[in-house]
Amino acid sequence: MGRQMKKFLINNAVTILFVIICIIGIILANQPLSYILGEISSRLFRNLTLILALIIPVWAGMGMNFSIVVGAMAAEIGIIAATNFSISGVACMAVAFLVSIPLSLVFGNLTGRLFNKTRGQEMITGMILGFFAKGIYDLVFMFLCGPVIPIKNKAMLLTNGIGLITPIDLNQETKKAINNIWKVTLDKALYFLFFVLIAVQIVLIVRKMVKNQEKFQWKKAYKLYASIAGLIVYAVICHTSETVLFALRFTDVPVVTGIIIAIVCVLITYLSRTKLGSDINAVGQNRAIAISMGIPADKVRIIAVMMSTLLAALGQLIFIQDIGNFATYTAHENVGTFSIAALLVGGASIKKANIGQAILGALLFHTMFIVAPLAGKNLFDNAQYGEYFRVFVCYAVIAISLALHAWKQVMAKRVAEEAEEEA
Amino acid sequence: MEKVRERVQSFGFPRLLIMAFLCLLIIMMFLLKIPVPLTLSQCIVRIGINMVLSLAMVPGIMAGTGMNFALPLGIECGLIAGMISLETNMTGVPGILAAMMISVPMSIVVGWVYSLLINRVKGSEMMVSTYTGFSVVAIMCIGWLVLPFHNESIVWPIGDGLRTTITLEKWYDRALNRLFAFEIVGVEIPVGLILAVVIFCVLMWLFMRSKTGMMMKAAGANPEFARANGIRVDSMRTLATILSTVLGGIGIIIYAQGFGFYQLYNAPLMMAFPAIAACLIGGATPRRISVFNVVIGTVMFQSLLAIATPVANGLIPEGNLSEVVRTIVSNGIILYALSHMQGGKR
Repeated sequence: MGRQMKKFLINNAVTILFVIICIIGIILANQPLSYILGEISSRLFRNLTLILALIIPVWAGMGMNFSIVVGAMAAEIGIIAATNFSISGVACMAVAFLVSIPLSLVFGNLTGRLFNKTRGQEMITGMILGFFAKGIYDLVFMFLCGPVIPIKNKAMLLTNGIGLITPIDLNQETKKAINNIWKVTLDKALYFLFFVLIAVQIVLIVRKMVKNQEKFQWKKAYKLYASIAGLIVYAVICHTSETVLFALRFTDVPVVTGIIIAIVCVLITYLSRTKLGSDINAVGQNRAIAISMGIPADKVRIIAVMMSTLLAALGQLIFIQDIGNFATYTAHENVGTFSIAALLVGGASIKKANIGQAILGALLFHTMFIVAPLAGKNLFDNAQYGEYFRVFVCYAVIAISLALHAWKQVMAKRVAEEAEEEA
Repeated sequence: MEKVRERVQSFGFPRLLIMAFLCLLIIMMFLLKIPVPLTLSQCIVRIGINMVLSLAMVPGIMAGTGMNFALPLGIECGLIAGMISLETNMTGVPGILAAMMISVPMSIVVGWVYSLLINRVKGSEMMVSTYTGFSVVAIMCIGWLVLPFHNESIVWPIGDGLRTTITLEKWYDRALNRLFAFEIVGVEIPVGLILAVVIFCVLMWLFMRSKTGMMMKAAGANPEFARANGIRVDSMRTLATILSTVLGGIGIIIYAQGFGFYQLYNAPLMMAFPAIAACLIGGATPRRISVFNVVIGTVMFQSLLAIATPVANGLIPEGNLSEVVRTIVSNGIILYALSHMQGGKR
């Protein structure tokens, strides 16, 4: 038992450390619950798709896809195009997404080809590619828009007619267009979520019973019990604590955004059960064996990157419509780093990642992001401490995860070599 | 014809492209009637102040740890040393030398600690070093806020910490450049700076030919073979990392004095990339490098940037075209180098 405990602690060190940081931060920040809940909820819906976009390349053994920056750029180009034709509201988002689909697929394809040339160094390549793409993006929108590329909407151009203004504001109807379609308060949303969870569990169990022609297995249905227990605990908390209920009622949840995220989750889960999904996994596990099995490894890897880039474009669209504007030349800069740090905080590694880790990571990482400046302000009377601290944590999480993974690989190799020598 | 193609391939298409671009810029410079002597003076200064930072890439590539993306580690050491020299009001060339002296022991300790990490992550050095560098820059941002510096000219008048940019006028602004400097047809020759750079280049050149240098090269080229011949590969890697960090520290001091400013906080974050790009443009690869590569590369890259600035301003007065050119060229060449590492195999 002690040994198992130790193993659990070591394997989840980053996550556990983060839970502690978050708790200390929340205490130090000393903010009303409604504020923290509201911020976490809105940031979760804002960022989750971008984090989910990272999962598929991890399966394909390519590590964290730092080049989701390119997908984010595709989304921004989509919004610029839609704004250029003065489209607003949900239509603006739809047009932006339609424009970004072919763009992100082409970008993803090119990225995948590059990754196939730099096998084993995909992450550094992706990172440098992000910087390189930023250069090209700046060139196009700072200097070519206006003189070379005609811009219909003159309000988007700088006064001298060369280059786009920054930031680009979405108009009142477009801002939060997707979020505002349908909103419910968080307390109802959570009830709904628990009922859906229970319903899904029941459906799964019934399907299994019908399929296998067996009786209901009381012992194996622990997920169902957990869901029901969660519902009961939640209901009790809501009825006993005024502050919690108030905080929950104070927070609005964007239902349509939630549905989009749910669809992405379902599609990713579905993908993992298809032939393509198992091919991706096989390539990630062992490329040589996958090729000998007749799987076109390079093609599979390109497809994985293309899907990731497309999801990143969708994620950046959701992000920008929630904020309501974007810094034309810098909005994509930190997309990769922040998303990757969040996924790693959730317990993922360079080799393994799933949806649960993405959600947990998003929750923890963004809690830290909210409370760090506030805690810094309360502790040292200077919010800068917290701001620098959160940037440091973000880089450090990535550095530590990468180093730990590399170290484990070297150790495993050494053990294998020693075993070989002995034999 | 076949031979020409072969030559082009071994030289690298992007390098040809960069050379062509450089020629185009020089032609543009004459067409736009930009004052040549002034630009040339700036070129020389830029080449000089960036050379040592690029030189810091040599030991890492020799010993097989690859391009040292963790250059900010050394840079931060150099910056701390610089701040100490300013705090104690050291001026002129002695001030610069003192700052270098202070930076060296710090760099050695930091480099040694960092080498402990880098020796444990063989095969993933580039990624780990990049994010180690980033983390250190971020933690040093807090460091600049809390370190006990009190000299009124370097701390903020109100609030905590050191200033973001510190002009060196009071201490040693361009002191090394001005040492023995003279003028030929309007072009200023910063003899002191050139001397300093030449000394470091020659030292590095000698080191590469010394016995230790040879052993380091062997350790980088084929670790198994080197180990079989009794070379301690890990010690070689440690030595290389320390050397690289020390050069980073000295490099930033030379850079700052020639530039006229110390830039703290997030300024060092991306400084490794142009240094790496310069080496690669000069013909180095992630596995092979010479001092000649560094010199040629820095001359080409920095003159490109120095000439691009006035040309870009002549063409489009607003916006920062030369910054965009820098981003595209430096990252483009790194991407090219990565894609030619034979499928990432080491």
